[in-house]
Amino acid sequence: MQMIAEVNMASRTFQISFAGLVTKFSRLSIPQTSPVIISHHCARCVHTQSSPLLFHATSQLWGAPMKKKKKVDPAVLMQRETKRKKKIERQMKRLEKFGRRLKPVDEIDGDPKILSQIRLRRRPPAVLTFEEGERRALLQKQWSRSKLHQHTEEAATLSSLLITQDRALDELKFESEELYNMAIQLDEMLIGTQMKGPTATPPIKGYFAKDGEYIDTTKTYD
Amino acid sequence: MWKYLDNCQPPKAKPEGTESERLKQYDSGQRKRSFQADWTKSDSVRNYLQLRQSSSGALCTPGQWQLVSAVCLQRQPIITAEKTELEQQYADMMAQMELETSLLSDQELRAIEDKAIEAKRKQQEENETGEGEVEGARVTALDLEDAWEAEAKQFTPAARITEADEKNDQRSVERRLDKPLVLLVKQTLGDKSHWVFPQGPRQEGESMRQAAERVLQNLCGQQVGAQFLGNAPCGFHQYRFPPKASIGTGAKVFFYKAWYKEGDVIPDKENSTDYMWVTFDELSDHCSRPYLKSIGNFLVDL
Repeated sequence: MQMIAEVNMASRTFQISFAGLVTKFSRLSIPQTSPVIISHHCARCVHTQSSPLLFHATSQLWGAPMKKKKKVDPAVLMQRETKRKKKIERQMKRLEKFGRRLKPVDEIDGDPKILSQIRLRRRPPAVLTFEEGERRALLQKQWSRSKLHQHTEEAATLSSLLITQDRALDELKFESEELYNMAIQLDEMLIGTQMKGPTATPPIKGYFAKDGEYIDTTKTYD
Repeated sequence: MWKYLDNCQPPKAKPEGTESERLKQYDSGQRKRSFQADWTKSDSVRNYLQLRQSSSGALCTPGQWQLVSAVCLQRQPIITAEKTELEQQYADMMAQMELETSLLSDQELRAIEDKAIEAKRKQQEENETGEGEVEGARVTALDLEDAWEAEAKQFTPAARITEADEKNDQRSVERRLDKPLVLLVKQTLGDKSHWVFPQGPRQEGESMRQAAERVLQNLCGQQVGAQFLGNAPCGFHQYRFPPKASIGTGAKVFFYKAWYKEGDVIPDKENSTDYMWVTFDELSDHCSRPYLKSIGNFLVDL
């Protein structure tokens, strides 16, 4: 490691290299009156004058010297800002245009955030006792049996409904051909009707549902 | 081809007859799978076909029987049915299995982090580093859960068992929200009054469905809103008039299904004196047996 010391003597400046010695003395800012002990290959560095050697070691300057900072015109700055903003806005518009088009299912890679954390999110595998395993298997069988029963019941009900309707239509046809023809017309009004299924709890009468985002500023006094 | 396959014998030639016979089945469309039950052989269908042959045709002429439209007005269930024991057990098991095969959620990760931080803090306390950890503004998983519970408590949903259930008010539509209710009306047919679906004779120039709509409005009031399900009747009932009355042979009632939308039933005092909303099980308490037999076919409560 070379340390370059700038030594100012009366009128001349010398660039001398020391072998690590100067680091020990770099903290000293007090001028040295006594002769400095120098290594043998720097014999010419011995001072004989009365004025002291004021030397200091700079830190390692491996990098290039700093560039001078040019003063930027504020107008130019503004232009740069607006350009950046416009670029972002253009990107947003492009996303909005293409965002609505759904990705094909084959190309979906899943949520990247969760995929990156998947090691953290692994659950320790559950330990099932033999009894629990048996109970589950038996319950599955019971369930499938009951579902089959339910399905056959439904199929029977549907066929019974159709038979009853067919009989009613047959009787009507026997009574009057005209009435029968009117009865078998398609009811256009039914197409497009909407039906809502049952919920867990009944609707509250006169309930006002607050729609949209809102910040509740009611003051609570404890 | 068989020449080129080693260790392979060509299939033995089948006798001609069997192949063509088998193919014929496919051609004529007679081939049936074992699980395709022949529905035309079931009891109810056989009864119907017998009845069909016996009632109409030779015995009566068209126009002999009065044509009557009736409305089966149903209020569909508003709330879901309670789970049976098996359903509850299965639901619990499924939930458990889903939990076991799932990944940890954000809330659970948070809880794990809290534990780690807590353990670290305790260790530091033990070591007494003296650095004095600031009781940071860390919102723990349990804090969040408490806040959510408090927010949820602010909302109280409506009760599943209503007032009408408690009073057993059979005139109310709010009773038995988990079952379909059907409207019964007390009508005087002949000299006796019966609990029936609102019915009335068809007038000239009307189709059966139009007659049904008119009957509903006349008997129950203009304010009752109903959605009729098509132009075709869903059921049929036949009854004879008493011969002394000399109105005719009898009536053929065609039932039309409709879904109740809104409005109170106000019975028109002329034809209908009273009304009630009943579940399908309660029908047998009020209706006569032959009527019940005709009705039961199209009242579905699955």
